[in-house]
Amino acid sequence: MTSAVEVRNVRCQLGEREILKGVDLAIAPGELVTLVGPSGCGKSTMLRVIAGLEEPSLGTVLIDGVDVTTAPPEKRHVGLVFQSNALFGHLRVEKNIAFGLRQLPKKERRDRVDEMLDLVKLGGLAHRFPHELSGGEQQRIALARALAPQPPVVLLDEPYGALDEVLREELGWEVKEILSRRHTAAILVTHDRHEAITLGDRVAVMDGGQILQCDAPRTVYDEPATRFVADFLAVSSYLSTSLGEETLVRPHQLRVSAGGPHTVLRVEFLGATSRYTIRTASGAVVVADVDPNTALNVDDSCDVHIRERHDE
Amino acid sequence: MQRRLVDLFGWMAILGIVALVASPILVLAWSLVDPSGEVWAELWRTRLPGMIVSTTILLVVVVGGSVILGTSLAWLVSAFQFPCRRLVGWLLVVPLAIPGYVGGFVWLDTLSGVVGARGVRSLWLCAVVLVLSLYPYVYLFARAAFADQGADSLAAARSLGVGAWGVFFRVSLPTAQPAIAAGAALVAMETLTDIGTVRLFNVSTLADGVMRVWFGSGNLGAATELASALTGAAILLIACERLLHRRGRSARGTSEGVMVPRSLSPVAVSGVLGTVVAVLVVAVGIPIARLVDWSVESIQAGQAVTVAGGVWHHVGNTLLLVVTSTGVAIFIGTVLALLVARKGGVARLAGRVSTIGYAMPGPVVAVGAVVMLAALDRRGVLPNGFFLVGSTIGLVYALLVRFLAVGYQGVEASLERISPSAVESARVLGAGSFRTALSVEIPAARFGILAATALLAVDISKELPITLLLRPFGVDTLSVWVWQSTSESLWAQAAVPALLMVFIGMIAVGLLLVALERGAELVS
Amino acid sequence: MLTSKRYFKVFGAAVATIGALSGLVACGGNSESSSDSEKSNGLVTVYTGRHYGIEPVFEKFTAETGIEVRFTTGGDPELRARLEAEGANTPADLVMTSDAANIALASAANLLSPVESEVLAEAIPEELRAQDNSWFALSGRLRVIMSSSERVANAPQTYAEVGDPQWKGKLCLRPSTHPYTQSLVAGLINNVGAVEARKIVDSWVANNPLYINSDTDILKALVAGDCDIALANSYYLGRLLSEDAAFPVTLTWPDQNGKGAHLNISAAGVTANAPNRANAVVLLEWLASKGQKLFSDTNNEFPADPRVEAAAVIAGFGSFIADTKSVRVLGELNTQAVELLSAARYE
Repeated sequence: MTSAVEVRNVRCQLGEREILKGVDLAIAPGELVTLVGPSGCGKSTMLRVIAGLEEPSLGTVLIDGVDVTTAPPEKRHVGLVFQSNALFGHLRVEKNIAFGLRQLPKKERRDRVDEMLDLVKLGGLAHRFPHELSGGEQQRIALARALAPQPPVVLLDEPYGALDEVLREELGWEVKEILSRRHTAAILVTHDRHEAITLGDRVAVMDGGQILQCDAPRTVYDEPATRFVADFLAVSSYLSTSLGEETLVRPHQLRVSAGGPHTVLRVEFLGATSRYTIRTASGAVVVADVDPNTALNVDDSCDVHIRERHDE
Repeated sequence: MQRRLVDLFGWMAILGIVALVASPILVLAWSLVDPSGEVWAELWRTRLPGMIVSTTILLVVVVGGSVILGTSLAWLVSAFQFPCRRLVGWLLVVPLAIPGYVGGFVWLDTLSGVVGARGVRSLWLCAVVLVLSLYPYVYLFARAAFADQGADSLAAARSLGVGAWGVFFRVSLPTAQPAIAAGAALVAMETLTDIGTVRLFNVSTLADGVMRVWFGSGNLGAATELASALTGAAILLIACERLLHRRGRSARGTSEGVMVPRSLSPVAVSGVLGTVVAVLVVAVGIPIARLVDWSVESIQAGQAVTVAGGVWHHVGNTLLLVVTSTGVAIFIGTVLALLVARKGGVARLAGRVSTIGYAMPGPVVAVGAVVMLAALDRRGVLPNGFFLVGSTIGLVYALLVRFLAVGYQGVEASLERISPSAVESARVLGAGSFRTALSVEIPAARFGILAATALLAVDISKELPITLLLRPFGVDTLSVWVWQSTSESLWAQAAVPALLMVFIGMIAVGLLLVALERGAELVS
Repeated sequence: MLTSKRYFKVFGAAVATIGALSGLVACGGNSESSSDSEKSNGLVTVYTGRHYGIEPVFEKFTAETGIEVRFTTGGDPELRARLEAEGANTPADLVMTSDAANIALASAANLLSPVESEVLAEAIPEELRAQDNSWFALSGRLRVIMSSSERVANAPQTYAEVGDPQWKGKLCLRPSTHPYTQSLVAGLINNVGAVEARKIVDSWVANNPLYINSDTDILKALVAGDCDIALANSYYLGRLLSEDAAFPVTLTWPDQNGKGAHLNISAAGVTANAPNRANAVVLLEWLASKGQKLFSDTNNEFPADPRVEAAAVIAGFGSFIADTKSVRVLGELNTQAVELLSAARYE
């Protein structure tokens, strides 16, 4: 099956620095891959290379199986959504959405615009100007505009960054649903690791211009390829086994009981759990999420065990 | 209660500035001594219809030509990468820094070598020369607008299948429209009030008519009536620009990112470079070459060095005047634009009235200012036998009356493009008017402010009639030096100070362009 | 760099600097007296529309009398407007113009005051000063017929002959906007009456003249072949000849069998509200006597005092009759001249 987007051994140089150092990625049709990593790791550059806004110094970019490495952006068939939504301020909403539909006859264009507006649930706003809309509405229109020409893939560059948390979550799910319903592949760049794990069909973790791991969220979470990936995606604790090896444990995998060689450093109430930050006798710091009823306070002594699978 | 006071203060400030700046013109209008019916009838029968036609044709051709030329050049320089892009982008502004009364003659002289002495004195050639001199207004404003538009919306447009041309016509141009309109308005005003160039080409416009009546009959009343006709035309123009403005409201949208000039194929590069260089050679190369030629001639004849007071005296005075007046004008222009942005509606009308000084021929403003300042002197405004007429304050004030339009227009266009929510968020967060202005509006409008400042500096360094009439004793500037030569048709002698003026003007513009590029870089 | 705090500082600094600068410079505001005057014999302030070559003249005056001269240059009508607006507060002691109409208009507007002086009465002929002695001519320039010495054998001899059809398409004239043209026509009106004057101007216009707003450029056009004859002021030819003695233009004195060549003047008068009236009179007298030669020579003009020798360059034009009788009325006939030119469709 042809990938919706495929990137092979892409290197990209911006000025003196090499931003992308040999990236490989393939995205199946209808798949949403979240691309996550620290600032400056090259995620936006990746998107720009795929969109054709930057030229790679090496490597190939294929969209729907077609080699587009040397094609200009207007010839590639990708959708773009920015954090700033970049709507055309001088055009009404309907004209914004219809912007990429020049080649369609008028009737079809109208229908497509209506379809898009319905899709993002903003049917009555066709005649408004962008500055008259709220942030969330603007972002949805931006998505509608990107989807209107029915591209095989949509690239979203931190699209929810400017929105408040509640809206961010809501919109994130809505967009994922829309994309999957239309069977449109998508790459969602985000620096929010929670978002990355929650929304992605696969999660690609990037650092220093390379993709460190690209797997299903569960896999990346439970079986991180590198320590960086582990630490980046979620809180990690490392316990030394008796063999001198280090095991990765997540907060929910630890059990805490009163009395023991370790000391409680911090207690955070998270609602469903309490998060204990504990210094072990050997000096390592671990984090455990436990039942809030565990009545331990800062500076108390405690003991820590790895929770067995059959523990409650 | 406090809100009311602040409101009131805002209104008073607006009205105060407008009164300050519009009063010399109004004072002139008031001093209609006798009914000038006779002179009117004569003028109407013989000259006025022709003047109106000439003025209209000139306006249409010059504004149209400047917009097309200025906008295309601004786009080419902003959007594409080619060798010497920055240098070229800077040099394209040179015609603005050449004083019109010298530049006009340079062209007349050059062109008469081509089409002969009779052929050269035509309306169309005059229009062409004006376009070549005035396009930098539109060019600068358009460049500021293109620098400011977010690269993201351009990228979005391209991802939607639109090529380079499409991006220009469907996104960049509409977004830049208010700025282009502001530049076009300035070009229109300059054309309307130009006297030097049109006279050289024997074209009779309304402004020329005003001067004729005044010189011819010493009849200030009739001159003022004609001047009112001129102002009427200017107001019409302004109204048109306002209508255009409405369409471009908030055209900037919410895009961010800096526009990085695109690289092109070698063929395209040579195309772009060729076009731009061609314009440079014609608009800049020819006048500067002739001026240099004349300068050399003049220096060899030992003339430049012996100007009364010395070269540096003139340069120093020019610099001092330019810095002071530009500072005052941009400050008041920004304050006024901010106030108007807050109040909107009627305040905007008041703002327009403040630009009236630009719509009048320079000599009219000069005399109006003198009359008003002298009236103030009679009331003893300054102590100890000091007088406003012939003082630096008086001169700076008169220049403000004339050039506030430049400062105000540019800043206002930029402020319009700020989304209201940005301002509102600041206010809601507790920032008072002053802080919001400083931390939100002014930074957002910085490109417009910078463009306006550069334009002011250039305009003031070139200015003649007001400087000539109101300067303190012995404070001769470069433009005065030029006048003393050109009024005796000693064109070669005018070349040295003209080139010095160009030099000063270009430095101001250079600073602006550096700031544009820097500011653009910093945004990313 | 462009943070809001920075902006505040930069903006504030700029405003403060500008304020300080303005204040400093404003202190040099125009005041009645100058500190220089305490060192010498006083001060005289001049508004002059005749600016070419005026500095050496004033310098010589100061050297000889010890009186400082402070002056400002500009266009005649603008300076007149300023003088009028200033009223009693004017710092100007003396007004100088480069045209007869302009000085007469100043007098008519009560901006000048009569000067009774034997020196002036002796040096300046009666026709070349105001009837009430409010202004005095200092030098003269004549608007004459210029022709190409290479192409024209028989130049016109009168202003009327300039309108002869043989010169169609070969005539260069200065536009009606300039005072020189206006005064010329005013002189014609005075000499032959409005109707005749109109006929003459009509005949000029019928010759499809090339209008050039500069006498120097008119003369250059003659040489370049764009026209064969023209009307221009004598001193421009004088200037060009002193740079190039072989300049191929011939000067013809018009109307020598009639009223004479049109005479226009550089003139000066003491202002009505002069703060240093005594010094103004000293300057005026000096310009009319010891300063005559220098004043006239620096601009290749003819001295108003007929006893003073003209510069060699213009003396070479030969002797001539000048229309001195019209000089006084050039001012009052100015409006009529402008209307006549306009009606005749003279550009």
